[in-house]
Amino acid sequence: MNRNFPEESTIRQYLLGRLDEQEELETSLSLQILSDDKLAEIVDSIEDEIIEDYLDGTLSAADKNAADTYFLRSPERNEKVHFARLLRSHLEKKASSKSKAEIPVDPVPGFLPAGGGRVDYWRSHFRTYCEIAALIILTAVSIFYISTLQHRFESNQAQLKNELAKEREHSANLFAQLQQKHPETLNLPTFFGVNLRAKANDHKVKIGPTTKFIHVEVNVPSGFYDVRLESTPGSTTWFQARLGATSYGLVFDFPAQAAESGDNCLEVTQHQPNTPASEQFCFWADR
Amino acid sequence: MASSTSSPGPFDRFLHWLSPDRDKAVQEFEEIRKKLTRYFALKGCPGIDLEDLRDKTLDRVLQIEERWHEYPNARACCFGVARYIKREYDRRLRPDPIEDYDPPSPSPDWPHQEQELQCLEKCLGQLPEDDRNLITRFYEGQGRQRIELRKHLAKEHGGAGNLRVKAFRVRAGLRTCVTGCLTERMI
Repeated sequence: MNRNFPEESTIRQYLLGRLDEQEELETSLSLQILSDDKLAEIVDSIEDEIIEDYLDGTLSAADKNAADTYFLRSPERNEKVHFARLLRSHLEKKASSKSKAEIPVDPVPGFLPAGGGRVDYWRSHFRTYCEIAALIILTAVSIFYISTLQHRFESNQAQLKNELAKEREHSANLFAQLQQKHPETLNLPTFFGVNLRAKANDHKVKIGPTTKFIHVEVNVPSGFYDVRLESTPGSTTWFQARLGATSYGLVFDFPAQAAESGDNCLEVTQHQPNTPASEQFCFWADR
Repeated sequence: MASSTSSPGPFDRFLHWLSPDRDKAVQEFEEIRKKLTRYFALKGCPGIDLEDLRDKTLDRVLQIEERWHEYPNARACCFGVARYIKREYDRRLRPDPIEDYDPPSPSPDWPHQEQELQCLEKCLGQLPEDDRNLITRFYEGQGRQRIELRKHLAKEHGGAGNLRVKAFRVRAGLRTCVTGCLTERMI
């Protein structure tokens, strides 16, 4: 189509009366058609094409409706419909009788001439049937594949759950064993008197990975005491003020992590007005 | 129309609007008359009403002289008015009996069918071989097969647009021939 001519689809819309509400476009198109014989002929040919599509039943529902209520209102167009119907019916009959009389010659590779009866019918629809069959097979294969994947996934999931439960059980057992070997709280032997650094061989403790606290009992008179833990002299790793001692002595726990490997000393200072007295209770820690 | 166009005032002024040269203006006026007839045919109006609609349009154009300045030229004015005439025509036509229209199909009890087929056969025989070949092949096959055959035929004829126009020409020629043949037989 000439590049200055309107699109075929626009002409179809025009002929089907869809541009009637667009005054400017409709008027300019009308003027263009009426002032150009070549375009006018194209419009006529598209009019014929609409009629052919109408008879073929290939118009969309909206176009069919526009054809019924607008396009075919003209008796002249109805005459054209009548003539087109007569022509195609006549030519189809002729083609049919010709093909029965002659050996079929394939005009286009893959096709037989029209009217070849049942074989022709099947041939003409062969591609469609193949497409439908392919679609069915593809759908079936897809469903089978998806269900296999799903089954595999479910069984994998169940196996993993099983393994996870076993692992949890195993882990719990290990933890229990570890706790048996390395309890959370370790007891230091009771300090009955001052125990200085390097003389603490009899006060030993083995701190395990699960040890959280170290239990200490110091034989001191009743009263209140500040307790300080130092690993190396002068450095405080733990401190607690005003711990009360009963007639059984001073009993307390301190966090195992505050003790370092080697010599550690607990400095215990009694709260006595004007005369604070400190005593050291050292122990050896192994990690 | 005759009464309006015979009135010298607005009609003369209309001709002058078309062209200051009187001869050219008359020529242009005739051209517009033809195109208006064609316009109404394109818009699906029945042949019997075409002349009436055309004349109504021209009458109305002469009546609205005070609004001519709203249009860029006389031709545009005529087609603008033609649109309104067509709308009025459509409104008058509703409800449309064509909605229930079922195009007549060739049936054995139709008295002219036999003659029509004979005329068609005769006219097909009179076609140049290329045209006969084209129209025969145009209607070959069914459904998808026909689509493929048409594609093939379109390639041979330089594209779908060309094929459509050629088929239209052959069909139009055949229609004229068959109408002439039937008229002869009826006489």
